[in-house]
Amino acid sequence: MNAPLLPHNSTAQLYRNALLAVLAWTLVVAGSLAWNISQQHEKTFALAKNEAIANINKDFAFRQWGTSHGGVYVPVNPATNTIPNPYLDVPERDIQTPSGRQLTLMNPAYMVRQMQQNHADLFGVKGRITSLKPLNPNNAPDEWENRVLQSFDRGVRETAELTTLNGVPYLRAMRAFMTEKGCLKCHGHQGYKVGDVRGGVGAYVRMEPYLANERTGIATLSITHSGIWLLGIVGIAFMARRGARRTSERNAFTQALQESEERNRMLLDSTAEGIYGVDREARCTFCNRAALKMLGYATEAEVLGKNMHQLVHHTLADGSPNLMENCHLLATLREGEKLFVEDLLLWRADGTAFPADMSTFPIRHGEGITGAVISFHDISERKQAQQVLTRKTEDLVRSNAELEQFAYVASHDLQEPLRMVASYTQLLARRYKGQLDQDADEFIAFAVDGANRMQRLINDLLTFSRVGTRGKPLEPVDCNAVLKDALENLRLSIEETGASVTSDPLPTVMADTSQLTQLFQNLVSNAIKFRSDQVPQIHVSAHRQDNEWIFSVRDNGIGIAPEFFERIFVIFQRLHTREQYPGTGIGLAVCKRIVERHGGRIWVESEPAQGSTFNFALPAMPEKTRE
Amino acid sequence: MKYPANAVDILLVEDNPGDVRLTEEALKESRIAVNMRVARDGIEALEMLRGEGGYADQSLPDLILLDLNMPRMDGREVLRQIKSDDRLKHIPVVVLTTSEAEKDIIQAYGLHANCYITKPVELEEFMEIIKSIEGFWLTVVKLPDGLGK
Repeated sequence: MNAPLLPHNSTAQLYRNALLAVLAWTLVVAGSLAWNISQQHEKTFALAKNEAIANINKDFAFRQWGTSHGGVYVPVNPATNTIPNPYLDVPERDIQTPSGRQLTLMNPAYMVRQMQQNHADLFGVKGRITSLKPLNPNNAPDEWENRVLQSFDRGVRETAELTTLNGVPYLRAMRAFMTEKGCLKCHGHQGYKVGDVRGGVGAYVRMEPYLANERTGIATLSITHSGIWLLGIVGIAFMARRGARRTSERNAFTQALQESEERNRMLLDSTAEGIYGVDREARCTFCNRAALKMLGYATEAEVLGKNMHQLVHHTLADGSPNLMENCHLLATLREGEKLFVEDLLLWRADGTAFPADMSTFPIRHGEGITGAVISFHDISERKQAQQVLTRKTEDLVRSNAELEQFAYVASHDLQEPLRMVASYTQLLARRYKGQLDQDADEFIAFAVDGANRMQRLINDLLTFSRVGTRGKPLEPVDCNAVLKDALENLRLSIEETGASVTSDPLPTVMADTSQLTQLFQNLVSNAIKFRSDQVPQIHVSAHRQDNEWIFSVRDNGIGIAPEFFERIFVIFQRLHTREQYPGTGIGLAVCKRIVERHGGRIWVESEPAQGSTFNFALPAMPEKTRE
Repeated sequence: MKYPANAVDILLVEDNPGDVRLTEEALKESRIAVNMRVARDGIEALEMLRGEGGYADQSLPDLILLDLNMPRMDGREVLRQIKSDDRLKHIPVVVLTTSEAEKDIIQAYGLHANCYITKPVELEEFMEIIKSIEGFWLTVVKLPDGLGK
């Protein structure tokens, strides 16, 4: 059996996965953002540094130009802060043009510094030129410069760093400059040699424009990343939702399937009918509880996959093997025919067998037959009951036949001695009447009367038993003609009593003509016999009721009390003395026997002194054979 | 045995002495002289007819009254043998029995019985029937003369 799926587990799994996806996506987007921001930073730094370096290069170029000329003589002009350099101790520092204009030698560092200080606004960059051993103490390095200059001594040639100045962010850069031949003019006395690190040219770059740029970039990145992140989250949520819906659909489907499976199983197992399925090769695909029980297996696993033909249907009742190719049940697998087979033998696990009725039903997929479902039930009990019933019926038929035979033979064999008694008492009476005394005559008369009555009884008994033994096959009989014959037989008594016998049109029924004649004759004859003081009025009619014709013989005779309604149909039962009404009590018993032999029934409706109606029902003929 | 020349020979095959006596009583009232011999079963009847056993010198009867149900050999077998015996088959056989069975009647005529009569219960009727047999077979009917006599 399938283990039941737990839907909530699967949903939880789905949500956990979705959460992981969200986390991973967030990390990716955040990582990308961080990387982009750092790139932006580096770019900003590089841009600022480039500017600083460009500035430094320009200062270099400018200084080199000155150095290559050994300085430049410029007019002294205190207004522009151009005064003789007090720290420059070189000959001809101050000269006079022939026209008397005062010129002073402006050494390269001085030139550069002046330009840096006076024209920095043009560049927006503050330049610095400094040295660990400045000639002008005002040009001494600050703390940062000092550190960088020292690093130059250790071989570093260029440094750029972000820093702040009075709380404003700046990029500071400094490049080492080397002692050249021209330098020695002014700095030779300080002990520098060509190739020594003379000092550094530095630059401050205001970071604000770059940072503003950077902030704009970061803002753009943040916005685009947020957008992408959000898109991803929406996607994940969408997927998760779809997944959840699918999961729930699948769960619902699985559950429905499971419930259906359980219901089928329950149905299968609750029926008393044995049911199993086979595939094309007759191998068991399922087997319900009733089938397992009947076949003597404990679990379904014992039969699953087994060839069911060989397992339960391998041998015929006569002990010969039931070949698979001859098995009519397997014809269902071959030809796709539904089959019902009665009373075949099925074999149990313990080697015993039982009789069963079996139905097979093909399973089709498209054109092909993929297997069959077989249902069966044990008919042992039914067969036993049938056998008992058959035996009892046979017994009954035999005993009935024996009884009839007995009645016939007995009455027949009784005839012989009775004839002797009757004949010889009659002979006695014939020869000796009046010759003996009166007693003898009376005795003889009683003997003759007894013998005569015995004779009638035996004749009636014979008549009664002949209804069964002498009956002719039933054929369509016109009841109008039959009634006419019966009345003809009764003509004498009808005339004697002045009886009026009327009838409605009567149908044609399946009957034995002579017995039906006797039936009408007995009933009409009874109606005349048991007449009241009135002239007998007898009416014969018939009406259709469902599949029967109900015949009625109504009279205005003495009637019958209800307590005798059953008794009057029993043989030799009489309600009156022989002196009142002669007869043996056979007439209605014969009527009942005749009607029953025709598959009908007879009954009476009556009240004393109100007349009687004798009804009998006979099966109607099928419509198609009626004219 | 010697009988008057005009006397008629009847063989009654009947096992019941009561019936034998009744038949005799009825014939006593007859107008014709009748010689009646009685065989008590089928074997005795055939012996008498074929002159076997102790009946060597007997002549053939003019009429046979045959009961059907008898011990040893029943009337049906007797009838069959009589009617397949060239010496005997010309003798009229009247089956006189209690049986009213259709089967018996058909079978008897099938075996060439000349007529089939059911014994009536009433003595008067029995007497009448014996008289009719006598009247018909011994008076009305012309039988072969002198055969076997």
